Amino acid sequence: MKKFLAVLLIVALGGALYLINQDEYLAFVDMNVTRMRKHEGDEFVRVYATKENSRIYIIDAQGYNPGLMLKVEIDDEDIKALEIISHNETDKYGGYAEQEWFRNRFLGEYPDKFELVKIRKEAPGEIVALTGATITTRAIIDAVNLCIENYGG
Amino acid sequence: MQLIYVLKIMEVKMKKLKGLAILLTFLLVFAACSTTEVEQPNELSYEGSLKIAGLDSDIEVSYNDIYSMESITEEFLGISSSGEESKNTYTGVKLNDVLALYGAGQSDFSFIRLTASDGYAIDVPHEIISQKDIVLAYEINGEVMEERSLPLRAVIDGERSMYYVSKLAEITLVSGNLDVSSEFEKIVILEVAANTLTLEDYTYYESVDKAIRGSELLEKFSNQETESVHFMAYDDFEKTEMLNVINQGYIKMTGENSPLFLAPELPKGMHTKNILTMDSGDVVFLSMHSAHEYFEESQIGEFVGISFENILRLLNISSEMYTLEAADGFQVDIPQSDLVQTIISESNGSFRVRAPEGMPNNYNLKDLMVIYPQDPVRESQGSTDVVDGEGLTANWEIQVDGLVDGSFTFTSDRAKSRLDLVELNTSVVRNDETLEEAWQGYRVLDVLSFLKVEDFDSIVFESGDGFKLELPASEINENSILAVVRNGEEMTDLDNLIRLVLDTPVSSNWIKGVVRLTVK
Repeated sequence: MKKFLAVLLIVALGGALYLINQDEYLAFVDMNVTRMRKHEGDEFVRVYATKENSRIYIIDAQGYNPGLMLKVEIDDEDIKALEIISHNETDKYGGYAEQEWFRNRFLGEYPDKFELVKIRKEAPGEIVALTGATITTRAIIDAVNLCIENYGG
Repeated sequence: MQLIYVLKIMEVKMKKLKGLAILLTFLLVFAACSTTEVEQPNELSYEGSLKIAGLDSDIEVSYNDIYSMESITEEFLGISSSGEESKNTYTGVKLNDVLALYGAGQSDFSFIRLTASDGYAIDVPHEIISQKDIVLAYEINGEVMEERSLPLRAVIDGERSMYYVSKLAEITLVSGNLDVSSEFEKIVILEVAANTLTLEDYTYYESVDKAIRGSELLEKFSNQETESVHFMAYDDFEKTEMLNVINQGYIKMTGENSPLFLAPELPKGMHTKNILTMDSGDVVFLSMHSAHEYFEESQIGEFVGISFENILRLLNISSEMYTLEAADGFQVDIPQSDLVQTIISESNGSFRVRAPEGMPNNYNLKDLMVIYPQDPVRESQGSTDVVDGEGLTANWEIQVDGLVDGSFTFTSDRAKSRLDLVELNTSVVRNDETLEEAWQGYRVLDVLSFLKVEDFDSIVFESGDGFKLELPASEINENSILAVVRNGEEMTDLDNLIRLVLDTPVSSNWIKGVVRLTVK
């Protein structure tokens, strides 16, 4: 009986340890990724390498309100994906950042650094701010630029 | 013995335990009381002051002083920009109570501007401030507001959320009327006017729309220097914006919510959507697209549009005569009695006047851009040569040919209402005698200017009997007039109602009975 209880305890502890160490951010990426812990820290919550030779960043973007988390996928040529994992931005202001038409502004070939503009795009690498949500836009631009810099480094 | 010893030890221990239990209980009670004291919320405190301008002198009231004033706690109804209503209980101080300390009250002012620390500003009009309290709130639903709203949030019961200004930093009390004129000298169709300016791309959410700069619009169409622009939207929302804000901003002419006033640095809550009119000084801009939302359509024959009667009533304009001007400068005069029977209809992006059958065809002006209400009496411009032509009764017409858009009939009525009657004294030698005469008439150059003739080589003057005289531009000057009065008497000879008179020593070129001018 004691042995049974001991085994049960060990199994329970092992299960708890497993759950504790489970990477919750894997829910947002393809499971076939390799975690790159050496790139993590500061704003980079998670960094993964994919089998397609791209890199996925889970990054805290420091928006108008805390809690703006992005997923950025980047390879040698393109920003392949930009998703808003979570946010607390105001719905009718920064909340529009979730819209595909806004996120599409970042996709494709990327410059050394994206720049924010407020009225219209006049050059490659310029991102027109969300109407009424310059701070949120700036936060996302800064976050993506950090990813570009980290990837290039 | 050992048992007794053990029992003794246990007894002692029990006593100790009992004492310990009592001590622990005491400590717990003490801790609870202390905790209760520690957990009492700290009094609200916020560094800084609320600036209040517009009293005898500008003042600053510290936020902490406001928190310590007598407060109210009431339920307020707020209305979001999408029309959703919500009720919250706010605790705060009435602005009227603050102003009372300085011998003032809300209703003393024309409007009150609320400005947040991030620059957002909104004017609360007299209609609101004279009837409702602005409350400087710092608690909502029993809790101190979040940092994003502190130190104060202006709240007004039953009003739109745009007036609920958070992080209130300054209150400006404005007296008097800020350049809002009800006597417009010009009504400009905004869409047509915009097409004469530079249309720039302006990204608005997901679309790239077209916009004009506010500064360019006013520079081109406004003759008065003003401090502000007044907007009215087709949902009856009204707002006054300071000129420096207008000059930084754009009017988005296409896409969602257009015409819409916005600026890159302007908080979204200060954008003005669906503009119906915007006025500045003596000019009012009217959006026909918004007019279609605001008014019911009227119909004349197969055409639908907006009736002029509705437009004039909206703008509170009444005049005996109006001059309607197209984008190309062509003009037509229409008396109010006729104008109110016409409509403005849109066709292929152009706005055209449609008059009922039986009215003159030239009323059906296409590409209408400007409407000028005419003053019943035209005042002198200050020249010593300008005289009063009101008493003139003769009716004449001059056909003007060679204009960019064809011909134009220039009438005595139009001359009286639009041009200055000037005086010219001549001295002519005839038969070795010097004849001095005093003439009154209209400068040829003024007539050409009225007809938008900016550049010409010569003018052919033709009399009723067919005689023609071509004068080069170099011989037409300020003293070349079309005279209607000779030596104080109106010229009433039907064959010579109007005569070309020049400042020359001989009168051989002074064409009598002018009936036609041809611009070359």
